[in-house]
Amino acid sequence: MPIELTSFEWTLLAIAVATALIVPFVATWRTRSGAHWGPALALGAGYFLYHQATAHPSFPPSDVTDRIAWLALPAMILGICESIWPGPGWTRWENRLIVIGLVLGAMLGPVMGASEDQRTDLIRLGVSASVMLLSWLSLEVLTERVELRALGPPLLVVIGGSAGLFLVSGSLVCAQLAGGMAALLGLVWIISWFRPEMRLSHGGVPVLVTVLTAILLNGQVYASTPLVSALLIAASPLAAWLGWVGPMRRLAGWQSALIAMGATLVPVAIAVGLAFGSSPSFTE
Amino acid sequence: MTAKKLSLLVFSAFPLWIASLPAQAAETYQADTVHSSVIFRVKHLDTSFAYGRFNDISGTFLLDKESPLHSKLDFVVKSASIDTGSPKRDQHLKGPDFFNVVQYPTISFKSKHVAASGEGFEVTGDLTMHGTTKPVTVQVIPTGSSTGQMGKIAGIESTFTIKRSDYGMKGMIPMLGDDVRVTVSVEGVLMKK
Repeated sequence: MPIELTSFEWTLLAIAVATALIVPFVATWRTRSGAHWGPALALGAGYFLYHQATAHPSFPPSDVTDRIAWLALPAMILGICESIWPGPGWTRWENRLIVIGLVLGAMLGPVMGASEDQRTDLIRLGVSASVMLLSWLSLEVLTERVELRALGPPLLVVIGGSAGLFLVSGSLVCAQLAGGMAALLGLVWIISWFRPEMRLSHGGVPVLVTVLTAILLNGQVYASTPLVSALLIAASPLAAWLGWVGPMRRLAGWQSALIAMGATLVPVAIAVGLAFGSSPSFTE
Repeated sequence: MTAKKLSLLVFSAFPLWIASLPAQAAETYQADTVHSSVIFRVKHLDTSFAYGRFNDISGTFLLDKESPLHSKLDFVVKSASIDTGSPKRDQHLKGPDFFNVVQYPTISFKSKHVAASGEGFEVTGDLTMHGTTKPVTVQVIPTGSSTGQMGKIAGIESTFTIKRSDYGMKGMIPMLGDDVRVTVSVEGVLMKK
């Protein structure tokens, strides 16, 4: 049967193709002083357009999944601002805390107060805020030290792995969204082969952390992603450090990247395996 | 009491009695979850119809042929009670791709206008699903009444089609059809006054 697309779908397809073509171009943009704000714009705007094309979010976004697209925009603006006007550390973290608050409010708002046990709500809120803050801090430091062309593969394992996690735990849309983010990062990573100085720090990190945390919360709270799996995915970027600590620092970039990839693969594989094991089968 | 006073009392009470007539004639029934069904069908890959049901419906209905304006229907379905015979598919349907039962735990229908129509009633009301409320007009047919162990019972049924995308449920269109045909069959037990 031939696939018939409506004019609306053709428009969305055009947006998706345009995104794929524009992202590599935009990713190279930087200021005269060399600040790379392109990755923030490429990842943030790219994700926003990708989300529009695949999940057709409603506006105003009532459904939590629809909110993820809109969360990418403040994260992108923050990323661009941090690249161009780095400012003192405390202002950066103040702005990041605002974005973290936005993510938690948008994604956890509908379930806050829904249960009789308020302690559970507070624990969930506290754990989510702490994990997001730690992931942000860890990625920020790692991306400052390591260039993107080396850090790309372990990050792709994390984001690609989270797509696999959602696929087995009840949300095809979350899997598509994480897969889209992985594709965008993949495009930016390819560009970094030709621009070795390109880094994700002060630019791409806010978008990556915001979108991934929002998708993870969506999967864990609203779909059937096991809590342990979500925490393992959130913590997996920490494993990438193994490629660049101690004696590993003396290794060639590709060797460190390989070690970091292997290290991130372990928690990601456990997370997907646990989700697969706890998911009902089609034949049950 | 003189005959004049008695007749005055009777005549003054008459309008009150008339006013209370519709309310007395109409009877409100409470849905019996066990003997009520909400089933739906949706096209899969433009090939065959997949059927499912919701196992938890509650609410009340009052249908009065003599005075349809006093009729009222009010139902709530727990969206987490969806059952398609496949736990894996149910898990997917309960998640954010479809019903998002954590954020939207109920589906509800509240009538706003009821008119007699043929053998039954034409009911217009608000259907709220997935956080979106839309007006719908459905045909409701009384299917019978009887007296059981629980008292007087009555049944109604309605079949209608909605577009799930109208309610923001856009997951997997067109692999899973947009049109969903829903049949609601409710057995109600007469509520005690």
